[in-house]
Amino acid sequence: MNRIAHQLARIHRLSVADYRRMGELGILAAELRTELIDGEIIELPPIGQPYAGSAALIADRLREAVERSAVVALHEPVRLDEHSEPRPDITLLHPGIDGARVGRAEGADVLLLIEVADGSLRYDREVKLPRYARAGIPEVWLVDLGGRRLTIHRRPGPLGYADVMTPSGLGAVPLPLAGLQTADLSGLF
Amino acid sequence: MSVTAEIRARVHRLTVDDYRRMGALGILGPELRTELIDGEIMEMPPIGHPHAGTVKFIANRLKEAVGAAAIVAVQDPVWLDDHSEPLPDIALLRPRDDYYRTGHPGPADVLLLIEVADSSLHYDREVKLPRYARAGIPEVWLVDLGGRRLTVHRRPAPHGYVDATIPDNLALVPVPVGVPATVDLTRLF
Repeated sequence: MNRIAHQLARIHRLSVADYRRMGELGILAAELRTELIDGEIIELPPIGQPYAGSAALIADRLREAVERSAVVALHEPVRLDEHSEPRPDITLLHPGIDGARVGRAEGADVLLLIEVADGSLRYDREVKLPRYARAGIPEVWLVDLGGRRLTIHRRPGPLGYADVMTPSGLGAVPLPLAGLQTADLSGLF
Repeated sequence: MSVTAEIRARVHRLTVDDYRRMGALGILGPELRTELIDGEIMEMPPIGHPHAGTVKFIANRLKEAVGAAAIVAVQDPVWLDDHSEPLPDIALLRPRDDYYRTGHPGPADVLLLIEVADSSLHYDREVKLPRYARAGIPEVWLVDLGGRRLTVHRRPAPHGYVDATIPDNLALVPVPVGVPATVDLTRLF
């Protein structure tokens, strides 16, 4: 809709429960890739290359690095609050998570989220990162394919992440796990 | 493009059919007054008494004026296209034996729509009127309670109504019902 309508009227914000029911009832078709942000259903672009390959590479490397100390999920939704359930590219979850909850994870289950951005860099940085911070997600990695850069965001607060850093190399990127494992992301860019 | 515009561009647009199913299945509760505009669900503000009273006044006067020549519907949905189903304050519909029990009226069924605007004036004028015009609704009356003014919009075109006139005599406002008819709205304001 044009933006005038949003300035002049209140859009109805869906709850995560509404949104999930729409999926279960087929109102949101299974082939649609969507996420819920502040009660609005946002369509995710089709997964293309090199984006898909990069996400797969990271997920594989993470699995090798974490072994059984975390669960790696690819493109699974994470519920942040009553009105937001984004679908980060990769989610590192607490190892104790019940298998049935992997697709219904909540903020407290999350150790690390990773967003791989090609055309979506601004959306990931300006829309999703602040919401992850507000929900207390402890760490987010933003992979900027266009800029060939990985940034690590830590110390979530109400306004965003207080710490942003670029790892010195991609051969041993530290993972937020008790065992101090690192992921080898050489060849990511 | 601003990030807000980017989000707007990616919002998932519901069809009228999706929207009706959400109502039927209780995802949109009966306590909500909503309309679907370009695939987005908009919440209508609670109706204040000046607005409600004006709607009742006009609806009753219209019914007296048109008799059996039209059906007067109050705050009922009218669909415009696959993605819009607003709730105009008053709709004057072609008479039908089933009173539209078997399906909400669409553009071809509508003789006249009336919007009574208090705080919603800009929304009615900037958002709803152009969409009524695009759908080919032949005539719309906009009742501006704050400005104490009735404007009659005719000759719908893709970008809006070509004609906007202020009736010179509220006692004899012509009603587009196919037969010569006028309504007395003398004490409208």
